Amino acid sequence: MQEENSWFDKNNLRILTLFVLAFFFIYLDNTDQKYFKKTKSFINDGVSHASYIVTWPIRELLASPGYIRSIIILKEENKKINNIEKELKKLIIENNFTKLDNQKLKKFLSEEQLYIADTIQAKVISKTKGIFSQSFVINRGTNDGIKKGSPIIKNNFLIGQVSEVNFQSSRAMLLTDINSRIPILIGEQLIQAILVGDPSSESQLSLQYLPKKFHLKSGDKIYTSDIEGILKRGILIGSITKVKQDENNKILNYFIQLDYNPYQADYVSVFVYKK
Amino acid sequence: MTNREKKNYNNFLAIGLVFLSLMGNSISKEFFIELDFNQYFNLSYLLIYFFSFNRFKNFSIFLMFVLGLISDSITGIPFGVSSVAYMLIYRIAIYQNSIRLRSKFLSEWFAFAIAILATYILILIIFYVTGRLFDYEVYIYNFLGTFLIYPFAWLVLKYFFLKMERFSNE
Repeated sequence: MQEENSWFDKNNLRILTLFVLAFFFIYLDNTDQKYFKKTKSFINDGVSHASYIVTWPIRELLASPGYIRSIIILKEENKKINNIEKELKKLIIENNFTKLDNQKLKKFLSEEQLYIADTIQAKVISKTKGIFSQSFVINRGTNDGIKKGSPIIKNNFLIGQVSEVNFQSSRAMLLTDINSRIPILIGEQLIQAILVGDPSSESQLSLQYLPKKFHLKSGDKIYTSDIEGILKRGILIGSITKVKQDENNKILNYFIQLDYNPYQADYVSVFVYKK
Repeated sequence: MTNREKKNYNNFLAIGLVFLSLMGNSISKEFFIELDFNQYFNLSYLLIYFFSFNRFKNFSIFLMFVLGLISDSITGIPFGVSSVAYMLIYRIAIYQNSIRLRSKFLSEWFAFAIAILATYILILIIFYVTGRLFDYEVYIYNFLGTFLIYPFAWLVLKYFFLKMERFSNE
C-alpha cells in the first residue's frame, strides 16, 4: 500500500525514465555522437519516406481540382498544338523546322544548365515551415554523395543548404531559417556580408557584418561568396528591393527578396563534391 | 464522463488527428505556399492537451515520447525536444484532470496556458543550452495564438467527439 502511494511507484518511474531518455537523446544529438547519428539517419530516412507515403492520398485529394483544371487546359492546349502542328508542317516545307526545334530545346534545357556538371537532381518529399525550423527534405543522401553544407539550387538560384544528411534523404535548411548563415557578395562592388535568416523581419532575411561605409541601393543583386570554401562563388540568391532610411538619410534597413520561393520547388539540384 | 473509456475508433481518430497535425505543415505547404498558420499556433500541443485532459484511451506517456521523436524527425530539430514537450503537456494535463473538482472550462483553459507556457520555456532553455538560435518574439506570438484558439478548438472537438460517441452508442 505504501509502495503504491510512494513517489517512486511504477508509473512515476516510467515517466522519469522517458524524460531522462529524451534529455539523453538531446545530449547525444548535440554532441554528434557517431552511433546515435547513424541510428538517427535510419529513423529520419524511414520517417521522411513513410510520411510521404502516408500523406500521399491527402495530397492527391487536395491536388484533384488542379488535375481537373489541367485536363481542361490540356484540351485547350491540344487544340492550339494541333494548329501549331499544321503551321509547323508548313515550316518544314520552308526548311525552318530545325531552327525552331533548336530554340525550343534550348529553352527546356536552360534550367540548371549552368551547374549541370556538378549537381544531382533531387525530389522534395516534405516541406516544413514552423517556429522551430524552415526546411525541406529531399530524397538524396550520403549514398548519392551529398554532404552537410552542400548548396541547393533551383533555376540557377541558391535556395538553401544541406543541414542534415541521412543515408537516403537529407534535410535542407532554407535561407530564411533563423540558423542559416550564408557568406555573400552584393552589388557591382561585390561588398562582402553575411545573409542571415530573420523570421521577425518582413523579408525574413537580414544582413550582418556589412561594412558601414558602403551603401546598397535598390536593385543590387546578391551572390554567394566562396569565402568559407563551401559555396561556389557567384550563385545568384536575390536582390535588394527596398532601402529604408530615416529623416537624415541614415540607412535603417534593407529589404531583401529571394529570386525563387523555395516552397514552390518540387525538384531541386544539389551540389555534390566529387572525390 | 471524462474518466470513462471512449469507444475504440474515437481513440484511434484522436491519435490520427495528432499524427495529421504533425504532417499537416508539410501537406499545407504543398498547396498554400503563402499560408503560415503554423507560425501563429501549435495545433499538436493543443490536440495533445485536449485528448490527454479528457483521458482518451491509448494516450500514454510512451505514445507522447514516440510522437515526439516523429515530430523531431519531421521538423528537423534535435531528437528528444518534442518528446520532452509532449510528455510535459501530457503530465500537466493528467495532473490538472486529477485535481479538478468540477468540469469548468475556464479552469481547463487556464491549465492549458500553464502547460504550454511551461513547454515553451523548457524548449527555449534546451535551445539556449544546445546553442540553437531562436527568436523569442515568434514563440510569444505562437504561445498567444495557441492559447487564444483553444476555446474554438475545444468547441469543435467536444461537439465532434460527442457526436461520434452518440453515433457509436446507437
